[in-house]
Amino acid sequence: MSDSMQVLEENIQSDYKYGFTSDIETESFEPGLTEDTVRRISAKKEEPEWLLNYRLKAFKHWLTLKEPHWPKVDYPPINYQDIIYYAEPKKKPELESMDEVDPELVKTFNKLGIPLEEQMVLAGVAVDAVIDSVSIKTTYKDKLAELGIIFSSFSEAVKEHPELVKKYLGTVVPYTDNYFATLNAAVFSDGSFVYIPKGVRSPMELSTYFRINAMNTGQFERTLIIADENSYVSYLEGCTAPMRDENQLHAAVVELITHDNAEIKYSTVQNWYPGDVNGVGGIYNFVTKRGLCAGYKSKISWTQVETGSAITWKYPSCILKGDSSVGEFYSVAVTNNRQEADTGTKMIHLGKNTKSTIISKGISAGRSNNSYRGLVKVGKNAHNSQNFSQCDSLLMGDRCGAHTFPYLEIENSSARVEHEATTSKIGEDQLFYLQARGLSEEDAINMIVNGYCKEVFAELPMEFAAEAQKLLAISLEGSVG
Amino acid sequence: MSIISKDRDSNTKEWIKTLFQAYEAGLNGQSNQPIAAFKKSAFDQLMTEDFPTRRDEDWKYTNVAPIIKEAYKFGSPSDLSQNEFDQFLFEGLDAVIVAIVNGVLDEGLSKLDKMPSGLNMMTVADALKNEAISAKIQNLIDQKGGTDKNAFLRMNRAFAQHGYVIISDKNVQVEKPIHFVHINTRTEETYFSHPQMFIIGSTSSEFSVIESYHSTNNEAKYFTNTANYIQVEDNAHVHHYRLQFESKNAYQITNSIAIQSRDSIYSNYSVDLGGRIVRNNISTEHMGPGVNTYYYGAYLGLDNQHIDNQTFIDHAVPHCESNEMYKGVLSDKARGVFNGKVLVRQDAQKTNAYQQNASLVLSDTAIMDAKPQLEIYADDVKCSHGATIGQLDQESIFYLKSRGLSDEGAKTLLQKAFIGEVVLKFKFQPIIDKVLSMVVTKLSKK
Repeated sequence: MSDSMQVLEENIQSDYKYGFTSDIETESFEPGLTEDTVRRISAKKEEPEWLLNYRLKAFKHWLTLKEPHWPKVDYPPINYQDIIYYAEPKKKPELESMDEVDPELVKTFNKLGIPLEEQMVLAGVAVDAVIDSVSIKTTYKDKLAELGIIFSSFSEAVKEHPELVKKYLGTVVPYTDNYFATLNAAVFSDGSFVYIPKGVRSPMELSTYFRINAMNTGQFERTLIIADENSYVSYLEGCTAPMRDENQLHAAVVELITHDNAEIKYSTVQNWYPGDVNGVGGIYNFVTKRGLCAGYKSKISWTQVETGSAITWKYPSCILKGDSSVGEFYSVAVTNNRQEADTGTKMIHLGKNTKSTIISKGISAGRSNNSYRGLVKVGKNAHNSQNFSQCDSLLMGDRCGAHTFPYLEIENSSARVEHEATTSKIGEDQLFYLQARGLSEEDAINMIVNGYCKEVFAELPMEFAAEAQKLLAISLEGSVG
Repeated sequence: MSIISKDRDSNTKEWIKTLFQAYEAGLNGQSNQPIAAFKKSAFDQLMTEDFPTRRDEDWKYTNVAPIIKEAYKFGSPSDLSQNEFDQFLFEGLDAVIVAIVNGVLDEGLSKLDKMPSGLNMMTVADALKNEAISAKIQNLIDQKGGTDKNAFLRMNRAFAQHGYVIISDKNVQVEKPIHFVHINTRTEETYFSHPQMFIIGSTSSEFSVIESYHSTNNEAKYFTNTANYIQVEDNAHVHHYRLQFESKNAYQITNSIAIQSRDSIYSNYSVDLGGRIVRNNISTEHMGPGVNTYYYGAYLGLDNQHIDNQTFIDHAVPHCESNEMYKGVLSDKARGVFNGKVLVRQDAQKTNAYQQNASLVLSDTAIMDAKPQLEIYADDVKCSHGATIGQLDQESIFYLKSRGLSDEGAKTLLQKAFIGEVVLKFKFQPIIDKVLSMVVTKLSKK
């Protein structure tokens, strides 16, 4: 085995650094899904009747659906009756300060390297930490409330702002949308709710750390973000999960709505447990994320760094309905070992003068498969709309796959659509050059890969950019085929 | 499958069955010939498979229901005069002419006796009696191609009346092409025809085969279901032209399936100007290293034309190259589809694959759907694809108008140049001239 192959092997076998389970007592339902489960979840959360009815409608519809299998991923069949649909930490104290937080939880955060108190003080990031389906702690709420910004857990929002939730829930991703979105609509546990009122610019980045903690708990997060006229918000979502052998299903729904001149920037760093070298265990990440640019000159920007999960299957999308609205998608997807990713975006141009940009960087190593699948659709009335797409794939090793499946559907003559894709491996010349200048092979590869992803990292908020680079380094700091 | 499409399929199969039984009844003691078994096996398979619907990923943008709804008959000969026929030929091109009028071979109009040395042509019926060639044919029809749910291949084999095998000698370079001229003269009846070619380029040979499709009447409705099988052996080069100028109500489905051995070249040149619904499937599989594949395609869709090109290149072995360039113009209510797929299998290292699709969409009601796909399992490869959809450049139009061209003239010139980039790759000047002049005629009729 050559030196470079050894470096590759070593790095591919680097362990999942965030693998551990923390001992927090949880109260869960027994596994299984029936109409009764849906009613119990709703009752547990003391939900109003309209929401229960919404869940039940979704559940009835879900029963009529079949699980789709068109993506380029392969996984054993999921038994939906083996999943626990509700779990919450037993102790649910009313928290006033950090001192009251369960010390185990604080430890969890410390292990993750994102101490809550530090973030509160130093980074100025309000963290709504979701551990196993129930919001434990919401910070900076008061400060945000002064500006009229609502940033709370989803269940709180249902209680405190039912009119807003009722108005927007399911407007972007209807409960009939797809198999997993329908399932989510029936059994969603909790999530985040953000409302930015007219003319307000959120003074800080809003952030939620998701964590799947109890054994065998499917997480069904529901996130709803509304930016009213002339407002701006940047939202961060980051994930780590403990190591275990049972595959876990994660079927979240994220809905974004922007009104006139409003902008939402949604960033994700996803590092869930990808399974071991043989692909055992790991998270199934089947998420429906969609934004609606409803207003004139509104903007939605998705940035994602996907390094974890056994299977990632998601397409953060933008519906550009408002005239002159803008949609952006920046993505780095890394797959290693036997990970599989089928990800991309959909840009649906409906309004005049709408613009979209897609930058997708795929990196595959080991025996993984990494697919970009995207749709750019220009409707009949989307005059003068523009799209630019670039999908690059980098292959490390000769047993991995990189695939591109772009769909372009253009129904307007004034549209300008460009799509480019390239697939290659790290240039041996580049590698040689850097090594000749004294860099180790590992550092050289790191530098090249980071440069390759720079366009996307540049879109991440400061706090995340550093974490993303670290993640990338963990996932595959070296290798040349 | 929904009940409706099941009904549709069973109706279709009903008339197919009737037609095939009529053919079998007319065999008249010929039923022990290999060709009869050849057709029968295809027919049996056809009866067990479904026709594609838009729910099938490979047929997502093309609905074949209007094509197979019709209960077709076989075509019948016509009395096309030599003068009328000659206007469909490429002026100045010296070629072996095979005239097929309404799906029936017209020996009077054909010039079969001028076959150049080094090239041999025979009917599929005769070729099946030769053991060596028969084995090659069997191998070719077993190829899967790049399109799923392709019942049209079996339909072609069950009903082809004039299938030909073109086989070259080893080590020959033949200048003179073989030109299959398919002409429709019928307007009153809807018939279908099934052109079929097995092109075998023996080791180190090079030659060209041209198929062109025409109609004497631009309103006529008929269905052409072509199947071409191409085998390019070591170091050989086959040039394959498919020039489609059907009537504006015609349906056409073409399948070209190629397999290439080491160091061979297969070039496919395709032009689509006519047709109501046109579907063109091309696929190539590389069987040995050093292979080159070129696909060039030009299309111009007006009115409510629907032109769908699907390409598939299977890089199964290392050190091969493929190059695709498809360009087209769409206006009125026309719809264009490009679905190109490049598969680089594991260990097919040092592959170079390049794919480009550019379209001009010139009216608000025209639609272009592009789906350029890369599926790559090897790491030391260079693969790229580009797809662009846009309009004529306003500044270029302004420039040409400032030089004295009319608005129409400027636009026509730019469109001709756009398509011309593909057409100029063709190797025969008479074909380039005729295609470009037909593009201009079609654009100016608008």
